[in-house]
Amino acid sequence: MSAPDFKQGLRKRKLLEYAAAIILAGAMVSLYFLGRSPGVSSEDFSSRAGLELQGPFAASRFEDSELRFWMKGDYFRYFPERGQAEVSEPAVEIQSGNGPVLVKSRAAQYAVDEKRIEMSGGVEITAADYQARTPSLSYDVERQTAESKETITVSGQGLELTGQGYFLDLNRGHVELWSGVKGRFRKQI
Amino acid sequence: MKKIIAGLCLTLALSAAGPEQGRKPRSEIAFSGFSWQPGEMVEINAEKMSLELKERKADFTGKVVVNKGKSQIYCDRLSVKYLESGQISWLKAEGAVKLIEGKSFATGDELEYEKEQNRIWLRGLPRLSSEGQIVLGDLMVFDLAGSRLLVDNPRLQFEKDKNEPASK
Repeated sequence: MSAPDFKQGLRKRKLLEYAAAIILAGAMVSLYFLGRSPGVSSEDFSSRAGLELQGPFAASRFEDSELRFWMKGDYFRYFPERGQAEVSEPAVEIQSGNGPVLVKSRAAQYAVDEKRIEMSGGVEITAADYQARTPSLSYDVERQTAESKETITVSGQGLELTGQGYFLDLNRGHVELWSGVKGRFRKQI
Repeated sequence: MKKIIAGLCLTLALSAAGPEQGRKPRSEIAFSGFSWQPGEMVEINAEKMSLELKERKADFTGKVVVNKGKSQIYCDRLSVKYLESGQISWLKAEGAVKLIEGKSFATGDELEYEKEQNRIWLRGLPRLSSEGQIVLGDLMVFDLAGSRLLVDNPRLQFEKDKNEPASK
């Protein structure tokens, strides 16, 4: 092979490499835009809160002139698009048939239309002489029931119960533990 | 020797009680196999549980095991009523009930405990095995305070000691 032929070959190879790089970049850009289908939205709702209360607040819900629950927290944001409110450090007092029940956690999401409150992070429930601790809780506002697949510990009146998965009927004062139940009754006289 | 004396005491107690007119024969046996000492914690393991807070009543179901001191109760279902202090006032075990403490072993369909009377009732083909003796009856009542066992329509069997040499 002569020297000019060799140089021409090198040029051709470089051209092919440039072309391949351009095609690859083009494909990546196309894939990026194709991936953003109209159904998939990456909008940041956190910046679109319809109502935002920074600092301690209190709110209450009445139904048929009856107080269903009141809530206080450190931070409140309401998103009209989702019909959802987010609360940090919430404390919810529920008026049940067995007296007031206080539920505290780190965070809560209130789905207004579904009338459901999802509470998470160190959930503490206090009712009369009993206290319960669980990582999360899903509360049905209308039925006044709470449930979760998480572990729960119920203590009070000399007994301590733990179990995996639970259902609480706050109105009836009824507790169900679904599996792995361990109960402990204080020292018997 | 100790076992023979215990067996004799049991036989004597049974024969002394004797059948009463028009009533099922009831025997009273000195028995301290189930202590249920005060100051003991009661631990209950089960698959599921439901609790009524107002009534202070808990229902346990599925592979229920009750531990109280040296005693264990195994059953399919267990209901417990407790006082405000956490003291168990009433307990009812149902389904393949076994009560074990040391060398004493009792079985039946239903076991009931009442704190006020400090008694355990064992119903549904109750059977007690203790130190090589087997007591059968229609109803067994363990008087925990008096360390007595009351048996309705008692039958007695003696198990052969495994260490005893076979008779010729």
